[in-house]
Amino acid sequence: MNKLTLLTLLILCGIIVSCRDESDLRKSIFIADENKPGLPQYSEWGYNTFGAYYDRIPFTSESATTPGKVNVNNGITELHFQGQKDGRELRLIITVPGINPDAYDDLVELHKTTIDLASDDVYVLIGEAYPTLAHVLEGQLIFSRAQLLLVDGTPFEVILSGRFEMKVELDGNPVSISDGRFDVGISKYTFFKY
Amino acid sequence: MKIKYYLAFLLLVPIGSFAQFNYIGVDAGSHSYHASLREYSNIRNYQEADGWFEDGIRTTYNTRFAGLRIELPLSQNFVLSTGLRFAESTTVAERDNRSKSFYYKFRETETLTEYLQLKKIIQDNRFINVPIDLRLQPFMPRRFNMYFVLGFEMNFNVNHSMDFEFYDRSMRVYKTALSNQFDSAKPFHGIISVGTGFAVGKPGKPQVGMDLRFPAWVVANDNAGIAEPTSGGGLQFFFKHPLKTNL
Repeated sequence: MNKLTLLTLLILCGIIVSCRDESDLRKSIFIADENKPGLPQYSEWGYNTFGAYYDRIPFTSESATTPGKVNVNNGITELHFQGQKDGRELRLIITVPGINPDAYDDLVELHKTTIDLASDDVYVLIGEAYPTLAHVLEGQLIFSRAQLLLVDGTPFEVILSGRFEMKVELDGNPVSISDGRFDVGISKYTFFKY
Repeated sequence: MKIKYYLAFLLLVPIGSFAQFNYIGVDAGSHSYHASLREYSNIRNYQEADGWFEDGIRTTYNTRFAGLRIELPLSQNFVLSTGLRFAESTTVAERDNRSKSFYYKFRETETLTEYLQLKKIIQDNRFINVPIDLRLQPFMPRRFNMYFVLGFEMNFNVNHSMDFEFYDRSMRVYKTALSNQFDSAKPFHGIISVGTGFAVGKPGKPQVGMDLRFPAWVVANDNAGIAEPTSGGGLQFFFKHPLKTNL
């Protein structure tokens, strides 16, 4: 074995050893809420889950799709939830006014923030591949906790945990979204700024 | 007045009993128990939604002991033995998938949370162990004596120590602070066991032997530290020397 091969092996070993075992933190850990069938328990661990009743049908995160993302486009910050309702993909997009984060760790500003979803500077989109604008009659999005997570001393993500509910008019139909709860980790991989 | 007689009886019984001990010796052994890690709210759940395979926590609870023992024959077939031992238990908790870690919430404020990645959680508890065994020897004493045993052990906690295998070794600086977040064994827990064994040696002469204890059950198992051991078993060996040879 020549020196170059040995050096390459050593460097590869170093890279493998230094990689953090982060796979568990990106998984969805679904702990069922016994009192709300079909929905995950409210949690603040960054379990990457969300859930709400869409009328009476559970709309929840699932393990194959990233459940929560934050999109900042021209100063408008959107919170994206992607999951399934009745076996079909569904997206819920809510704008978050009053914040223009440069990076995911700026989302800590949302700690203990309540957003009135019926106000003029908020819009909500609901739908499958191409969500449509919903007319919010009333509703709230509450960020109960926003916490910067350090893993072994290194910043990893911001965990956003909270609750939401709303009554909307969507394509001429009244829809109620109730008992909503979310616990998602927003990291450099799920934060987008254009 | 009755209490006085009772206290006098308690004092005299050991002295009187000692006169009848026909063996004194040493014994040592080890036991393994099925155990589970106690619920720690700071350990992050890691069961994947829709996971095909359950990825649990593997917890082992092993004990070792050594000490002195004395034997008192109660009849031709029954022998009572007791002693004083030093015992140590080691609990090791790790993920079933050993390449994975625990995420342990080490400390937090409202907007900042710190996880440590732990590969293993290790706890050693040290005890003073008092065994009380009742042996049934169904056969007449000879060079090879087989017996059955019913045992009870009392463990009195002396001290404990914690160790961790950190995913990132530089996190060992937090070992002491982290240790304080885990339970030590409470002052007392016990073990009940049944088993069989044999002693080799002429009656009234030095003998060696071995016990197989199975099953053994841990009593007050929530007092045993970070683990809750339930049942298990093990081997113990002894050497005993006659105090009196007139059995």
